[in-house]
Amino acid sequence: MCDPLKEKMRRIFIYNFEAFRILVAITIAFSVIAVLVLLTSDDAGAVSYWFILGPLTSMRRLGGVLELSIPFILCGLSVSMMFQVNKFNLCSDGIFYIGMAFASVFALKLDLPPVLFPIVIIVLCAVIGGLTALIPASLNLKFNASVVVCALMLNYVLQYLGRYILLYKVKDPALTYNGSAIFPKAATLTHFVPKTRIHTGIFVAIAAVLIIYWVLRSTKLGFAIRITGKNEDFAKASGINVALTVLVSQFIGGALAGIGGAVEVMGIYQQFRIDTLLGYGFDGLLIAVIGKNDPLRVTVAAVALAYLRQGAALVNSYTDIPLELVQVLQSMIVIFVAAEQLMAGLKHKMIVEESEKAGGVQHV
Amino acid sequence: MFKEVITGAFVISFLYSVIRMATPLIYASMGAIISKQAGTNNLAIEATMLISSMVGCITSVYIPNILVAVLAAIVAGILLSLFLAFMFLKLEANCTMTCISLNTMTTGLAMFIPFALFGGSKGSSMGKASLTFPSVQIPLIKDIPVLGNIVSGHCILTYLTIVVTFLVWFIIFRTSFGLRMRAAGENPDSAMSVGIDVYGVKLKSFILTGIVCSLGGCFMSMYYLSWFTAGMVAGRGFIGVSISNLTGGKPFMAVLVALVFGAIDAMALTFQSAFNFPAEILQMMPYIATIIGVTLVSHLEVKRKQKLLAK
Repeated sequence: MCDPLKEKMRRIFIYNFEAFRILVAITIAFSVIAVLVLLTSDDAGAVSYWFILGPLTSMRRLGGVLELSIPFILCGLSVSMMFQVNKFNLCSDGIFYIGMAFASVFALKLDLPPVLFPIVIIVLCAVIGGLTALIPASLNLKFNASVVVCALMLNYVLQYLGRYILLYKVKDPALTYNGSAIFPKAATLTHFVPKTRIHTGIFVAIAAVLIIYWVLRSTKLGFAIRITGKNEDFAKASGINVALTVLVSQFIGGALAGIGGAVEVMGIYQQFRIDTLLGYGFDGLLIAVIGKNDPLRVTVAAVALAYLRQGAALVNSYTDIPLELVQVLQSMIVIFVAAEQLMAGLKHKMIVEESEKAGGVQHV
Repeated sequence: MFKEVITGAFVISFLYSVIRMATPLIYASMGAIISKQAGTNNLAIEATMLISSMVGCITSVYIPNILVAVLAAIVAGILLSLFLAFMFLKLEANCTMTCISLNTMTTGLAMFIPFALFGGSKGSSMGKASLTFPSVQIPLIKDIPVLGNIVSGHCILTYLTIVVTFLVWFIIFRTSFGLRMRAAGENPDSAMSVGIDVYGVKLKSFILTGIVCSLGGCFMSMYYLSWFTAGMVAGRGFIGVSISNLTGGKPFMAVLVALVFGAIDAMALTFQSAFNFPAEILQMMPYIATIIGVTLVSHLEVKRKQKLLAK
């Protein structure tokens, strides 16, 4: 009577609906970008070659993917920790930047033995990042101020703060550009894979993923965070201290972004010379949305985004398409994933069919 | 140095730039107020302003007619608002996430489109200059010694804010459409139950927001600067949203608050040239002021509601 294969497909579709939806969102975004590229580029073949296969063409380029994964994983985790309790605290971007700024201050002003030095810097930056993230969160909790507006404004404040540190605190006047002196060797992270800039910060990122995974899965705090995120009233009724849970998760999120900045500046740049926000906070937003706030999926999404970015960077340098197009692609994915009703009609239809069939069987 | 500060010329140029800096904020806040009254916390004002300032600038390169450029910018603003309305109303997208992503998306487009059209170095600002509005000297007033120097000689868009503010107030508080809009914003379900076409009303409010914000965008690329760069709106859209929150959606109050923010902006500019103070610290001020203002007003709002409940 009914095709069993079709039946099975429908089941798969209903149970993995979220995954399908993300897939559709990504497909829509890629199609729009493909049209834009076809319209503007003289050599669409080269663009797609560099974009899709480019990162695989050499050791250095493949290394670039992993290098970029480190800040992406940390920022993705940061945003997902903050969003987990339904606070759209988007200050990860600014925190990442001042994480870099303060790390450079510590690296140039302190003097500690190797190994211990980076650890101390990372811990200090984590604390600074965590405390910064508490500003919008606590203003929201205490005074009911909009956390989104506060966080976005805070990003601008942090940008100017970082630039101030760069220009007035760490700038090396001997340089022709605005940059600090190169950090002492003890305050840098070692590049341990030849021909690439993959640095020991990758272990920090992996450790962060595992710790967050453990905290969310197997601790009381993680449970409180998950329940608060799902239903605040229920959490309150169950005796969870919601305000404290929210603050702790914001602190952890901020700390992760601060660690990301510190690791990035000590591992990749080894001096401070960036005078504007890098936008990694918004990359973290995409990663958290795709990864559905799950640390392991966040990691996969972060590596995938790093691959995409590396491809885009190669497209930027070898073809006539600029890097910014990937930013358009990324935001389009977030928008379509955020669209609740995208394909909801289809899901509804299938569930109705399924239940009608089940009901029919019962009647017989 | 101090002598220079207290001289009249300094004060006059400061007050002049207060009005100048407040103009885009007034447009942004008017757009945000319309959206707010219709029940949407529209954080995509920034994106709307950016896209329309870009379209205005590009159009003026191809068709050197300032009216055509402004019209094109308005059309761009409306199109973006329609896209937003489609995402919200049809696809029920998460409001915050969509607006934030729309802001990043337009920043990307703002770098990509000028490059695709004009070439030049990737990622930097557009190499072509835009047409600009002339400064308007108001007859009679311009001859009044101090006042003339402050009030006269602005862009036509600055004077248009008076009309726009009045229109926004009139539409929201004195027309039946405005009443429907406020009802739909306050409580969509009960509005629907008395036969208001909530979707239609919201859609129209999005279009109005687009029109108003695109005028602010035009001001940025066609008067404030005479070219276009991707970072030129610099959070003014967000400040506009904050102003609308601060004033609870009241247009005339919003103009006053916008002038205060304009003054802070202008202070950052003038202090920078007058004193040898790090510019970065001064540039933070408008943003810090926004955070403090939003906090203060939200707090007062909570207190007020508590009082009402206590009664």
